[in-house]
Amino acid sequence: MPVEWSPLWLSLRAAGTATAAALLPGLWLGYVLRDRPRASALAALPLGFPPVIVCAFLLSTYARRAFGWEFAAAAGIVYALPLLARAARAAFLEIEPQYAAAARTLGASEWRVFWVIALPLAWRPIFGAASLAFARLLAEFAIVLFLAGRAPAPPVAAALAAIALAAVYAGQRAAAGARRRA
Amino acid sequence: MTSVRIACKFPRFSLDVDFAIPAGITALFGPPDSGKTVILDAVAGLTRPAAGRILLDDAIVFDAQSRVHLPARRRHCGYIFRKDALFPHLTLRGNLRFAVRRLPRLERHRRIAETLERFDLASAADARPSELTAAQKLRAAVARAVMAEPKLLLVDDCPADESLLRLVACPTLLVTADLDLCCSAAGQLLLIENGRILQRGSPREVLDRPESVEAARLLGIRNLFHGTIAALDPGRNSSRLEFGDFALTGPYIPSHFRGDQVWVAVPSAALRVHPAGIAAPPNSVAVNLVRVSPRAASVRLEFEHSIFADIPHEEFARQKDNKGWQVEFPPAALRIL
Repeated sequence: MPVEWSPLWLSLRAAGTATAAALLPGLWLGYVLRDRPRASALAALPLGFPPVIVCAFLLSTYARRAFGWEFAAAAGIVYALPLLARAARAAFLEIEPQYAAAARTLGASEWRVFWVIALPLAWRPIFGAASLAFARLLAEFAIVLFLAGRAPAPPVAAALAAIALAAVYAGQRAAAGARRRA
Repeated sequence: MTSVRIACKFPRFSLDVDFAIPAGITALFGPPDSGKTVILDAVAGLTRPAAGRILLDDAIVFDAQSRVHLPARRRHCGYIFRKDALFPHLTLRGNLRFAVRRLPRLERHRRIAETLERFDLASAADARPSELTAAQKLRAAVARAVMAEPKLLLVDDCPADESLLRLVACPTLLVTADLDLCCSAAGQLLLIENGRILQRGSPREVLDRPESVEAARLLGIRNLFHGTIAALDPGRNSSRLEFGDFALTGPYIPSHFRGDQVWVAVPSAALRVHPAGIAAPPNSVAVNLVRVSPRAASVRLEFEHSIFADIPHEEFARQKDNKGWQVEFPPAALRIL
């Protein structure tokens, strides 16, 4: 019997799209909230909603057709955005403040400080957070498939688990490299 | 004209300063936590004072009353931070390029090459900041700030020497703890303590004539005596000053009366020491030696009554076996505060 690989592609597509779409706004949110602890705490609230619940809400509100991966991706963005923003904020706060101050006195706009100074100096922990978000979303979608009675075939489940574990390992290794450098 | 008038409150002190920055170097000298870096940050636009006005080249960049507060990027102030602020992920050339990114490519290339030559950094152009020596990092920081053609350069307590500062053409506000650098490089010296300017003037003038006990203490004058004017003689241009344990003859003190309490400062290098037993020189006090501390260029002798004298090493070698000591106070060295 041929193995049904579509759950793997579906999960990868949804998790990948959600992580990619949440990356830039999440980083910018983390950057602008770095001096605002209260707003940062509020921005983390969506972490309290599991993607499954958000997905169910989106489906009940908008869906008139069958379950589409776009809804899963949208729910994933709601989850990944605060996760990335929190990690990015922590990473940006670790950068010595004189770098950004020097860039501003040299005439750089806040956007340029973000792109040219903050982001290159903080990419390792941000990469760690992004891969963690990707792995979590992948696992969440796999759980949804299980609950929906579409349990993936053993090779597909193994591939999902392997990709998630590899993403977590690679991300945490990069983040640990940043800590060691600091 | 560039001028700074700012006020803001901090838990430990209130900052309230008002001064002009002429061409050349203006040095801010004071103890740690006296508000020097806050002044630089306020001028650069990195912090917002509660009150005041800051003018850079006659342009208002901050005015609390009219709520003008130009962001740092529009103030055109170069800033050399106390900590190394070269971008660690860029090469030295990349750091310089960051300062002139708006110039056309050819002009940018020419300016970078010229600056690297001028600051003797051509050999390190492609090195990252972590590969540079401390001196090269400092030169690179100054080069990067100067490349942006600032209206004012702010230097925060870094080991910049006179030759490096001479490469800077724009007015400079220098925070330093090095009085020798103030004397050699600065045109104006501001003594600052607890957020207030104690004294201002040319470095020589401030060092020679401290106006208050606080200013004298700040300048490291250890011989500070509180006493009473016992006699005043304008005809002979002299006065008699009595302290708890000894009395001295000083110059005439205008605007004072007999019986007034005054502080007297005497630079320790101006005192002369003699062995006891010889005919007492005029205006000298017999004292016991308490402590000897050798220094790089002199030996500091601490006597009783908190009298300090700095004498050359050769002089100390001649007198180190003295059984007793007499300290001579040249009347011209006495500064009435």
